[in-house]
Amino acid sequence: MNPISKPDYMPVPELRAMQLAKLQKLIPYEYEHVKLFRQRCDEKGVKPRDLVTLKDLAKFPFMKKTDLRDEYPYGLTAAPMREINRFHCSSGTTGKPICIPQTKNDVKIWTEGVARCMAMYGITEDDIVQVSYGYGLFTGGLGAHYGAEELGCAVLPTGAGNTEKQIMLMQDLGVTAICCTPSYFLHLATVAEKMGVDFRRDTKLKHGVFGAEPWTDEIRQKIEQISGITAHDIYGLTEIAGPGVAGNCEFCHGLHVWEDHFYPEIIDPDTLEVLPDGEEGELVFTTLDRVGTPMVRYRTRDLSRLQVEPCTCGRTMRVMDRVHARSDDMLIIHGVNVFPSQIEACLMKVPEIAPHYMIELSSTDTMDLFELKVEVTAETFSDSVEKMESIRKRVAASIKEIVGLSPKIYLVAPGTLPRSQGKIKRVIDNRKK
Amino acid sequence: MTTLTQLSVFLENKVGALAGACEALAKADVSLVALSIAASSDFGIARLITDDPAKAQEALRTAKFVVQATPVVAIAVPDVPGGMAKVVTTLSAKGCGIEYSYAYAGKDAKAVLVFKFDDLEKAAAVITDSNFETLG
Ligand SMILES: [Zn+2]
Repeated sequence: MNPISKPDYMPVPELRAMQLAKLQKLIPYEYEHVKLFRQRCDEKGVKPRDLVTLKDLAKFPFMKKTDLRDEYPYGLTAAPMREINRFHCSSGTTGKPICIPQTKNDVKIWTEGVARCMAMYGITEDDIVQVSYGYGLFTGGLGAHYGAEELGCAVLPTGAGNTEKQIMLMQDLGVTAICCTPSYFLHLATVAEKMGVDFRRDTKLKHGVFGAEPWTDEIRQKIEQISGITAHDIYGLTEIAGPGVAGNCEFCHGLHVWEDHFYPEIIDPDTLEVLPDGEEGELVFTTLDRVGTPMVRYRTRDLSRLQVEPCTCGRTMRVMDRVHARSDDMLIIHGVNVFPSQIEACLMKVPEIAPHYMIELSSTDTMDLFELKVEVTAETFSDSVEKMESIRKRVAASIKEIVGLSPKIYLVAPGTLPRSQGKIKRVIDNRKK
Repeated sequence: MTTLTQLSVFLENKVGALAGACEALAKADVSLVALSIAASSDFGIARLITDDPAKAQEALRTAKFVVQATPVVAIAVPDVPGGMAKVVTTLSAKGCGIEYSYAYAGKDAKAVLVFKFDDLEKAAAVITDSNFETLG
């Protein structure tokens, strides 16, 4: 076992004691240095010394993405600028960006999280790791890069884009692991196929480290089936660190959270009450070691569950369910709750359809119009209208069965729906608000 | 019996899709001999006979169209009343299933009937026995 993986197996009582000790240091530090946190604690009438057991964390106020926007750029920064070593920002779709200044040690802890994930996936210093996440303000590229380097891998920092060249380098250099978004890997696979490159035959690729967007089990199976690699899930978010907060082990039932650094809670997003392990709700994280921009009870908007059963692999870190949906992503169409991931799962059941789709919503005065564009594939295109219609009917039936809605489905030519190199946009909502 | 290579092109139901395909062929200096469109409510399939199928396929693929090559049988019949009927009646009588067919005006006062058969081998035997003139 790689020594870096040792904390994964920490005895639970020791882990809980460590978490409490870290929280008892963090909360007073945050109270002293972050005005917004201090004000909110005072409003609630809660003092740092009220944190006596882990359960007491529930008494403290939440932080949200809007707080980061409102306090942009430095309002939630706790450390002095001389200790700040790195910035990461995320643009968001509206208004001001968020900015997360971090210290050298913050980056080190984040790096450790990524390296522990990769070690758990079976990646070693013998591996050649291609980082096809975007580099820059986005945490994906640098996070994966630092983590793989920490583990002693040979890192190929291609960044996103220039896909044909990436495939060429992957073959020429004998790349064994790739880090990117699942949707970018699917795009890469499409381009590879056009170039006549077969992952199994022409590359040494074994591992895919996928994250930065919610994805389904069906996508994982599709990726593994078309490429022969093992698809690993890496979870994280810029506000908390970046990728490497959690990852799946070989048993794949979910993702081990590195809770010695990132303390997880699940809350009911409506009542804001903490839910017991085993129940689904919104994932909330407290950063136990970060001092640049610590987060106390940060609401991720991601829906998940902390599993009750200890994992077969022997790691003591709790397992969270794969994030298949973000509460922000939920669409309400004709009064029905729909997650894009459900649509994706429906499409996966129809093999003739490429895993690319676009949901388009518009409205008349009285009703919502729900349109779904799906790509046919070059291999399955048939010159018979009946056969093409039957593909469309099967897509419709699958959606009707699972989602209960009947969108108008359009078959479009392969390669015409947008591909992303970062996070993909699958929904266009033009409804009148 | 000879066969022709027909190209089927997937057309999204939007303005200019067919024009785009025709333009791609024109640019590659390929002549369109016959064109038939099968349409559903929101997509179409254009079936093309060209003077150079290989070049046409290449040109359409380069222009990002989805193309499929299908062997079809083109039978030339005298352009007189009953000319087409005779071919169709014979084929039906012998149990040759026709998936689809279309016609175009050929040379020398002849009409050309294009057939996509369910079972090409079976149809080939009937056509050869009946001495129908096939193009290819
Ligand atoms: Zn495990």
